[in-house]
Amino acid sequence: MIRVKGLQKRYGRTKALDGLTLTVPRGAIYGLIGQNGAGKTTTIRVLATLLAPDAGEAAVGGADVLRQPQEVRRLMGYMPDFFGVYDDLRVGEYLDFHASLQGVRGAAAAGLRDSLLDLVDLGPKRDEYVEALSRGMQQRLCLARALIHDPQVLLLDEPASGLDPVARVEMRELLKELGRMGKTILISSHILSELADLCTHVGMMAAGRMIREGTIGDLLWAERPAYLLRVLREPERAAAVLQTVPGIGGVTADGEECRFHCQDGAAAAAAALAAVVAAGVPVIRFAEVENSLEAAFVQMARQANTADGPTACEGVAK
Amino acid sequence: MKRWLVEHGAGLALGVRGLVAKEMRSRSRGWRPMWLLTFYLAALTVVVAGFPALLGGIGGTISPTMGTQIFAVLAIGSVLLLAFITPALTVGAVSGERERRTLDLLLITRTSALGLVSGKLLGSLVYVLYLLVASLPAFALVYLFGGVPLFHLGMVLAVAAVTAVTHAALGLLLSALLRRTSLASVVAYLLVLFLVFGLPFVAVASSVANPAVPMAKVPTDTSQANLPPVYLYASPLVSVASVLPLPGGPYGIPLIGSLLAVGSVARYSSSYAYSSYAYSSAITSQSVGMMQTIIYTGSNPLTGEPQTLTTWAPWVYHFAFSAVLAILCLLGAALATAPIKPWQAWRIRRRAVPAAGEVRTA
Repeated sequence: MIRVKGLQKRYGRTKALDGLTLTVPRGAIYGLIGQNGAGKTTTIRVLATLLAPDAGEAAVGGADVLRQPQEVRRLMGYMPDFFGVYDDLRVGEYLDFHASLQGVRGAAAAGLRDSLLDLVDLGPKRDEYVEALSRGMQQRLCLARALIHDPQVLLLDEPASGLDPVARVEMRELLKELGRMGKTILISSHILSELADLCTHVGMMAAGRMIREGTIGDLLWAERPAYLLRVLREPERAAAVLQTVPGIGGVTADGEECRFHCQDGAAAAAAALAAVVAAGVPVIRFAEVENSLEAAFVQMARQANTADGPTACEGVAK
Repeated sequence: MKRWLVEHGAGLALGVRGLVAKEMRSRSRGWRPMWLLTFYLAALTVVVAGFPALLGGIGGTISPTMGTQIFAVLAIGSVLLLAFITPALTVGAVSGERERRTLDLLLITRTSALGLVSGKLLGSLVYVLYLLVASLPAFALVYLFGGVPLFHLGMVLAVAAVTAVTHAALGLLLSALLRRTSLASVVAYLLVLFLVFGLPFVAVASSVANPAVPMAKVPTDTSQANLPPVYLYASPLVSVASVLPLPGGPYGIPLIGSLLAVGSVARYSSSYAYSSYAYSSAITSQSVGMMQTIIYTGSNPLTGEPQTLTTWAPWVYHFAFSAVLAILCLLGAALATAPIKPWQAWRIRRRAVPAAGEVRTA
């Protein structure tokens, strides 16, 4: 549903996106995770047709953001991380205004407005001025605004920023509900745990590049106990054997070392070691390593940041 | 091409429809609209009530040309008021949205950047129309004294409307180009001051620097001799002076007559100094209908026959200049507001890798 290929963007000498590639399948809730300055906001603004990339391609629902911006706008709803409100409009009028700009009119618009206000739990606030709403309510109203033309894709830039814990939970439940409604959602955050129980897919960004991308199931392996196996030779065969062992996943081979994760702790680790030895691969080291998704992400992000010069800060992208 | 037209037509229509409704709603709320209307009507009232008092008309003798005189003062007053009010209505149109962080939310809708700025402009102009209609009762007072054909009232309102559209478009352009509303306001008012008063001043200055050729030295071919500079017609003050039903002679409008150099000469000037320039060059003129003017540029020194030049009336030049300026400002504002400029998209599309088709078929 969303495809980005080789996207590049510079702000002066600062590189914000450096050949970013990502794919969001239809119906997925895709969490884009990265530090401040990783390029998340820039990516979302390019997809929202608000920013021209220097190179590369980006498409939403098959429509290229540069060739068919009107089609992209019809297909997507966008919620920025910071946004303002009009002090002279009421909640219902605010949605009506955006509905008219999206070409939604008449009884359909009124019906959609009321159902969206109910969805975001702002039905009773319809006649209040937008400015008088709390931050959490304004965030929910902004989400309703993004949905006013019934888009297939939602681009949400840090939708929970600045919210208190209760409002965060409400926002998360709302997004889950939208996921159940079949919307494809791209959501950015710099807090990994915030997305863990919401997303079906996760992409980790650092220094304007995608450093890891996959389904949440793949990535959850990384949260499990990790082991390191160093062999004298044939690391590829060791990796192949490890993948056949039940309860073992997330196998990677790098030089003479294999890393893997165990689903049920030490027993699976012992079975894995026995299988590799039985296959005739000479093992010279076997050890448990400290690991978590967060730790792996931080390590990868540091490597990416030191490999390249300065990266953009999120503020530059605005 | 057809798809492009349909898309842009829809973008324009959506922007105009949505924003005009929103602007009308916003401008009818709060105290600001009430204060603006009160100020506008109070200023016109002061002019209407104060002018006869200054002339000694109250308690004294009423001049038979009182109606024309009040009309002239009202016309110039309302054009000046609108010239300075309209930039204020649009100068925050785009920069205000940017400052409030609401612009992005408008740009990601199906309305185009041109639709957005056109909607903003029309939304402001609906309010200007409201001010113009509100001022009509003041103009009705003129008919108590008589002497002003209804056609001239229409022409004055047209000059006021054209001035309002142009200055609103100018404010809109500056609002889109400059990031801050305060800066856009300052620049807009400097430009409006220049358009209204600066151009006549420059004309006067240039006449002082280049004195008119004395009558005796005017060559036989006087087609271009001592004519007012064309840029003078861009001033709404000159334009409105050219549509007033003034009696001949330089003192057609008491008090401000000396400022506006009324009568035939006033059609080209808006200052006393400039009128002296006009006298020295012996230019007189008379209108031919409303559209054209015959200018007497002197007499042939050999035959003594009068030399004349027929030209468009100053307001025609003003309308043409205003239309061009307003369209350019609107297009400029749309370009400045568009998140992705057409040339940026074109440049990137040219560079697109051959695998582009792969992405498009996602």
